[in-house]
Amino acid sequence: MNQFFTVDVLTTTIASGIALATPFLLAALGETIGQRSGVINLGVDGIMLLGAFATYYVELQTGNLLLAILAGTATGTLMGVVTAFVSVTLKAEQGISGIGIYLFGLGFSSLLFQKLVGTPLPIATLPPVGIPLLDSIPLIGGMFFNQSLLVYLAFLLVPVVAFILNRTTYGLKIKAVGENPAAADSLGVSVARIRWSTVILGCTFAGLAGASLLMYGGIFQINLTQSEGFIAVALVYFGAWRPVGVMFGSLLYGLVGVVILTWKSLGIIPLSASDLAATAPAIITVLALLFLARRFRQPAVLGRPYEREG
Amino acid sequence: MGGSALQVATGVPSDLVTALSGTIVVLVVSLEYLRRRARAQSMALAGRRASRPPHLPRNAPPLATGEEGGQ
Repeated sequence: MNQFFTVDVLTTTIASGIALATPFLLAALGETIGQRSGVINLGVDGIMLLGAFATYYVELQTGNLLLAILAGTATGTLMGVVTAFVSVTLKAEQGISGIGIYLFGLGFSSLLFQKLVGTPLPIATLPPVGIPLLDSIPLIGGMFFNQSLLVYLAFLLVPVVAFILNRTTYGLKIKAVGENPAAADSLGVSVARIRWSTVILGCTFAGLAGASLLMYGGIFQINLTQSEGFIAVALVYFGAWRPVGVMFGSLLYGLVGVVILTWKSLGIIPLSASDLAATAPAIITVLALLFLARRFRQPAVLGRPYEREG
Repeated sequence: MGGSALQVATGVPSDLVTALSGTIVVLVVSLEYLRRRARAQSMALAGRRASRPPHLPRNAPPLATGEEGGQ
């Protein structure tokens, strides 16, 4: 255990934890926006997979990282249009349609990978970018201010999303539609339009989350996400539908995941117990959900399609 | 399991089966709303037909309710 509590190992662990938290944070932030408007999207994981594959394939073909990330994000947007059409326009049962979209993403990304790529090849990833002056702060600089651009973007989006939700007319409309769509409708707010926009935004974030997950590992594989999209949905509950809470949940999950990996590599966790240890982040999330999420109330019409009366 | 068996037996990739399963799930839940809506529309139409007196021809204008009587 002593070998874990050294400055180098701790610094690396925390820096990796922050990087690993990024996909969760992006996906959970997008899901937060959608859920605040009353739409639950369980297809996040499938959309992340499709976003990751699009990023991987475009990077393999063009070698252009920016274009690849944009392709992953655009794939999320495209899936957002499908999700919004099914959940909002066709008023489908959101839980089941989400599972359908997840299955589609899981199967289609694997199929495309096998047909178009076959043998997995590593791709270039985003290099860490140090923030001038801040990255030279002892200890903290290396952990927080020497990350890739996607990590900075994800953490910058937290105050941006919080501001949009709490301080703008659009955010108030989102919350109104999620709490009382009939009242919002009677005041002239288009429930369908608001929900379409939030679902598309949320899925775009999920596509970007897939891209950032790919950038973390640098290689695509079948079922790359390993159900991390579902964890992202759980993190929204953990964070009580607040961007800052979601950020802390993502950080907790990312850090616990990296600590387990580090302990395994240092031999602190025996090989026989490594599979059991791998479940620790999920168990901690569930326990935290049990104790924390009960104190907060979910959006009143979460998961319920809106149908105008009369 | 079924997907894998299909892949072995017919050469259809199991991933294609997974993707199709997802598409079918989405279609089924989406069509449910359309079916419900069509049923509601046909019920409303049937209700309107039932409220029309039988001696009136099909293309007759709707009966005056008295509420819209002009002054």
